[in-house]
Amino acid sequence: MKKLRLLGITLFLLASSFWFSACSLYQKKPLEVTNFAMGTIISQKIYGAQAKAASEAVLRKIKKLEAKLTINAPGGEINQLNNNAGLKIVTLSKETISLLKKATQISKLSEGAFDITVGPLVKLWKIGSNDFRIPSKQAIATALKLVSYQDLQITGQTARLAEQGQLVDLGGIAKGYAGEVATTIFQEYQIKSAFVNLGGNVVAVGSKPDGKAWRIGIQNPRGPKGSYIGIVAVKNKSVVTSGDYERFFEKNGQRYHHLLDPHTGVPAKTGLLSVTIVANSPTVADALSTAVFILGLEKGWQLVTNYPELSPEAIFITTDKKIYVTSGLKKTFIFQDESGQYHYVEKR
Amino acid sequence: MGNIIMWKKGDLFVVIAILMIFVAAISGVYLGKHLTKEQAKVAVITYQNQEIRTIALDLITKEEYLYLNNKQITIQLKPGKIRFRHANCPEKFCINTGWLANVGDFAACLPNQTAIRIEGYQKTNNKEQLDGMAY
Repeated sequence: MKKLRLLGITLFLLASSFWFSACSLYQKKPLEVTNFAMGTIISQKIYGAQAKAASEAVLRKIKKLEAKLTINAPGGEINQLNNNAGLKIVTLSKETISLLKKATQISKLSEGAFDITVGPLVKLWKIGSNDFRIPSKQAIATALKLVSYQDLQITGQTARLAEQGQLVDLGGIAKGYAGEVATTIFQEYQIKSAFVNLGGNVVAVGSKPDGKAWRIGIQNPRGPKGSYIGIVAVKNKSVVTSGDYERFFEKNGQRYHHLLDPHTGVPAKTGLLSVTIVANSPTVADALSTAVFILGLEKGWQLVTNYPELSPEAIFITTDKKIYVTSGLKKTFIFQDESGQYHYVEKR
Repeated sequence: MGNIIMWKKGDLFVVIAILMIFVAAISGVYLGKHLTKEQAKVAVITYQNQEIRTIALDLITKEEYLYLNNKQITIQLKPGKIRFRHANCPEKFCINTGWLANVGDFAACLPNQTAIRIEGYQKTNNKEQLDGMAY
C-alpha cells in the first residue's frame, strides 16, 4: 500500500512538472522557417500561438506577389503592362496600382533617382547574371531615352507606359512591399513579435518577447558576408541596405554594381559604399535606400531628413570609409567595427 | 482508514526529495545546453525548408562528404567548417560562397532548394548576439 502511494505521488509530480515545462518551452521558442521566393532567401522568426499559420500565410502571399509583380513572371501584371507599352492601357489590380503610385511618389521626391521604369537599363547591363557586359555608349543612350517615371500614366484602375520598349521593373521596391504585406498578415494572426529577413531587407515586428529591441548588424561593405560595422537596435521598423557590393562585376579594376543611375544609365558613383534606411514602412525603406544611394551623401541626406512622412533615418558609408548617421538614429546606432577600417563621424 | 489515501509525514519527505531531484535535473539540462551552445557551432542543412541534417562542426575531426538530392549536391566538411563542394546548378552561387565557419554564415543553392546555415553562439563572449543582418 505504502509503495503504491509513493509510486502514485512520484508519477503525478513527474507528469505535472513535465507538462508545465513543456508548456513554457513551447511559448518561448519561436517558429523559424526559411524559404526561397522572389529570387531570394526569405526567413521568418515568429513568436506566438498562431506562428505556423501566419508564416504559411505570409509565404502564400509572397508567392502570389512574385507571380504578379516580378519581371521574370510571364503573364504577371507587370509583364502585361510592359508588353503593352506604347500600345494600350492595361487594367490592373488595386494592389498593383497602389504600389505603382507609391513608387511614382518616391520617384518624384527623389527627382528620378529612384525610377521603376529603369527596366531597359537593367536589361541592357544584366548585372548579377552571367552574361554581364559593359554596353556601348550608344546602347546606353538608347536605353536611357526609355527611362522616365513620368511616362507611367496611372488613371483609376488602369496604367500605361507611353513608349514602346519601356519597361517597369519593381526590383527596387517589391521586396519591401512583400515585407509590408507580411506585417499586415502578422497583425491578422495577432503576432506581436516577429523578425523577417527578405534577402537582406529586415522587417522587425514589435520587440523581442522580453520587450528588448531587435539587434541588426549593418554589413561591412568591404568585409566578408556577415561582418558588420555597427548595430542598430529597433522595434517595429524596417532596415534596408543598398550597397555596391550586393551584385557587381569587376572589369579592368572598375566595379560595376547593380544600382544604376536613371539619369546617366551607368552604375551610380556618388562616393558611397552603402546606405541603410531605417523606416516604419518596409516599402519606403526599400525604395528610399536605392534613391539615397544614387543621390549620394549630400542630396541623399536632404531627401531623408526632409522626407514628408514617417521620418526615416539613414546610415551612410562613404568610399573614404566614413560613417554618417542621421540624428534620430544616434541613440540606437552602436558603432562596432571589427575591421578597424571605418571612422564614425558623430557630428555632421 | 480503509482505502482512502492520506498524507503522512513520510510522504512530505518523498515529495520534497522528488522536487529537489527534479530541480537539479532541469537546471543540469539547462546549464548543459547553455554551455555547449556557447562553445558549439552547428551547421543546419535544410532541404525544401525542412531541416534534414544538423552537424556539430567542432566535433568534425577529419574531412567528410555528404551527398544530397541523388548526389546532385556534394557538401564537404572539415574541422570547424562546411561548404558546398559540388552542385548541378547553373550559377554555382552556393559553391562560390565558400567555406562557412562562423555563426550566421549562410549559403544556399536555390535551384536545389538546399541551404546551409551555421547556428550557435560565437566563442568571443564580449559579442552580444545579433538577431539578423541587413545587407
